[in-house]
Amino acid sequence: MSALSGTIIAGSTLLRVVVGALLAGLGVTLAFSLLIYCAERAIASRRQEQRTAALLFRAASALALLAIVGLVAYALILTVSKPK
Amino acid sequence: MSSTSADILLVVVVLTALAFDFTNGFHDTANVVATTISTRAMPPRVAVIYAAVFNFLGAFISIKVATTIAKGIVSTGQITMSVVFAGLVGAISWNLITWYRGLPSSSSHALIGGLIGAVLVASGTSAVQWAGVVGKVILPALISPTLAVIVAAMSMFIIYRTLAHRPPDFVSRGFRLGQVLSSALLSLSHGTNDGQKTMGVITLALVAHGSLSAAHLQVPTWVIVSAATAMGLGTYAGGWRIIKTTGTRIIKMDAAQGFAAQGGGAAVILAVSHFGFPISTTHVINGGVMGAGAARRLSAVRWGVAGNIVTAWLLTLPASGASGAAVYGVTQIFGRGVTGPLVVMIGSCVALMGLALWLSRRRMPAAVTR
Repeated sequence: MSALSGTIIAGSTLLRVVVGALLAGLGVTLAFSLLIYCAERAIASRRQEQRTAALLFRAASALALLAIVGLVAYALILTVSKPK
Repeated sequence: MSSTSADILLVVVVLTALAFDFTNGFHDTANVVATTISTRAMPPRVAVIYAAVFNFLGAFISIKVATTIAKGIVSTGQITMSVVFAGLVGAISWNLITWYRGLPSSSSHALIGGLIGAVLVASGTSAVQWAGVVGKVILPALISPTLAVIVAAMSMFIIYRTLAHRPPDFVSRGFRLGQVLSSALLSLSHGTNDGQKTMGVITLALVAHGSLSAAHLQVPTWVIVSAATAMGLGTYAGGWRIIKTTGTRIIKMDAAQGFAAQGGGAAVILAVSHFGFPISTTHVINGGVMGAGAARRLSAVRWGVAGNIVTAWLLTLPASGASGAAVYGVTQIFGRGVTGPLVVMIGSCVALMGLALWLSRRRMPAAVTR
């Protein structure tokens, strides 16, 4: 019985692990892909002398970079903190 | 056992634990740097030093996994230093066999299997906390590589959807830069999870010696520093055979796939470490590589190589368990004192030196180091 209850407790925790890993992994990948996309579009727009578009894409890539830094920092803080 | 014998035995166990950590460094960290090297995001030697530094730092982040190893798998009350020693030698043996075969098997499961095997022979089945083994080892062992496959495959889907029509050179260069970040994260997460396993084992030995109380278990600072250092040095030594398998044999990897495999792996390891589960980082990273390859097309994965790796994974717990049990049996031939572990340690060192001499005469795989 104790073996079974131990496994069930671990099972509910594992669900949180699954959700956490999916959000973190996919979040960083999405932010990094957007960073590359916006950086490339910013360079292309500058070449075509579309200054406003270039500025907007540069701002978007800065936001994506901030999101990556934030996600990584949050993941590290979570790892150090105690699970609730 | 006299107090001098107990002290000598403790030194033998701590040295063996650090030797295990060293093998863990060159065995498991090979997986961490393999993707970075194969996509040429960094030169091999730089990638290995970079990983060594972040592995060292990662070992200081958390001690939750160390506590699980020390309390959640075998009953601390029935652990003796000979049991810990036998478990470690069993794990090192399996690590060396799989390293020689170039198979990225799990050092963590080797350690847990070795400990379980030794404690089964020493104290019987009641000394193993089966609920802990199922809930904290076997379930995470099944779920974590599957999760890494899913995260890496979905990451590749996001990458393809977002960047399909962008210039491939620019995208590749971007992901190579990204791999500098994902490799650091993966090394850090590896140090966090794997560095702690040796800390847990040394803590178990200190409890068995009587230097630490089982009721108020705390990992001493010198244990954290020495485990981190041994793993960092092992990482620097590099495990080129396994780097070749993970980096080039499972799939032919591009920079985006390397990023997805590393990012997915790091996310899984950090999430799991948060809850204190001692998972296999090897399983996670190789799962990520398979997921990143399968997302392009299923036939991109060399399933024969993947099958060999999975077979090694399945064999790890029983094989290292059998090895740990056998080593415990051998140490008991010489009585319950320090003689048995000393004989095994000296014998193992002599055997290893012979093996190293024999290997130095054979040509090591050079393609990867070039």
